[in-house]
Amino acid sequence: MAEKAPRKIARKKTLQNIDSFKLGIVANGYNWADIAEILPQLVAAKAAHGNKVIFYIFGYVDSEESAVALEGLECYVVKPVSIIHWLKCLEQCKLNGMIIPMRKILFNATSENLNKFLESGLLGVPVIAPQMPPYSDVIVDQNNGFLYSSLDHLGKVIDLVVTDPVLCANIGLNATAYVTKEFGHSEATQKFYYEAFI
Amino acid sequence: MKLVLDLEKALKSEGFRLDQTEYLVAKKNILYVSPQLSARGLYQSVMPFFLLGYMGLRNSATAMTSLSRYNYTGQLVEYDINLVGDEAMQHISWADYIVFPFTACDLVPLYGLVRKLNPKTKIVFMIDFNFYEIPADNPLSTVFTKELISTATNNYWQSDLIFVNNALMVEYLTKKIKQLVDRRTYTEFNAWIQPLPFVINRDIMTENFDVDSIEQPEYKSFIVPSKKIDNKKIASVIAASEKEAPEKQEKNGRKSTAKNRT
Repeated sequence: MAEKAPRKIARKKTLQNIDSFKLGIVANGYNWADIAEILPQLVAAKAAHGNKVIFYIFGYVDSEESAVALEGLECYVVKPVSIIHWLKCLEQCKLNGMIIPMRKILFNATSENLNKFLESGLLGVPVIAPQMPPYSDVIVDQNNGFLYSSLDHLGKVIDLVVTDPVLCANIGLNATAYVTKEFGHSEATQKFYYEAFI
Repeated sequence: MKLVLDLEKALKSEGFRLDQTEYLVAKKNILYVSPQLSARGLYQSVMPFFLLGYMGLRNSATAMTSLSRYNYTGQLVEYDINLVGDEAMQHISWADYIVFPFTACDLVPLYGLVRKLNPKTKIVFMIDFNFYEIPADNPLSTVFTKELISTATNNYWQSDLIFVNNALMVEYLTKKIKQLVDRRTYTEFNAWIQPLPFVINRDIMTENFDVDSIEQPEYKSFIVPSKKIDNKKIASVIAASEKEAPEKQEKNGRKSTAKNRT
């Protein structure tokens, strides 16, 4: 007897129906290969935790690269938004964590900035970032964020945060305090910036 | 980000633009040239614009020539520099620092004009990413040809101060510059390289003007469905092979029966 193809889910699910741990990943058009590298960990987490974990892919566009990078994953996607709406979009999704995929290549290590860490921290969302600069310069593991040293370790960190959302929430609060103090508008930040103009 | 949008709107007015640089009131006057309203533009230009210019401290003042919408490829290869005429002369004369966003368009002639008008001003160049090490799977690798790499190198080489994303890039660039000098590709290098300080402001960044236009998340499955078996096609293939079998056997001199059909 012919095998039935899986039923295609056509309707949009609303956020109000979900009671799960929400992990975000930002796709900026240039990092699909980085996302593809962590895909096995995402798929494994989904298999292990089912609806208790939900992935949000921000900046999604239909393309060959995105299809390859996300093959086998069920997730929510959000199309690119302008920087004007970005934080509001993040806030709306009420994320519990933000994964930063980043292959350990020279380009990434020398090009990455702290935008995602700052924006997530501002909203109390802890990041799960690779243990390499610039993240290892500002994140203290399990204090104001999470650091992973390998893909296996990433898998374990995802398991940890999904099963201990209270820990994650507390780390999110620490992240907010940290980014506000170190990078917020203040006389100290102004003085630091002023002196950068040599 | 209502304040940011208000700034974008205000910068469309010539009066506002000129008022920014009418008086010399601070020790460091910083002019931001044509940034884009993007994540990079926000942290490189817009947030520092507010921090250094509008916190009520008198040691620094800021001005901006324009604030355009996101078009990153355009910024990289077709940079629309809004620095012309009497207005530009006033801005340049006022500025102690003139900050250019990252581009692979040739800025060196503009640097020459700036230095002629105001020899004391320092030219600041932003480097957004390590354009020497773009991996092949990154779309930027098709944009950054050897020619563009060379132009971008000229742009930072001829500046006075370079901001990069992190301390590791400071190290990388320092070594790269030494290589280029040793190979005599370039003459001596005199600019400072700094990691860009980052600044955020919750009040500015979360104040939105139009909540309704935010993209809503959409559920999507990327699970590849198993191939659907076409029974009709299989039946027709079997039928065709059964028809062919007796014809072949007749050709070979044998009568086809159900028993000897294999």
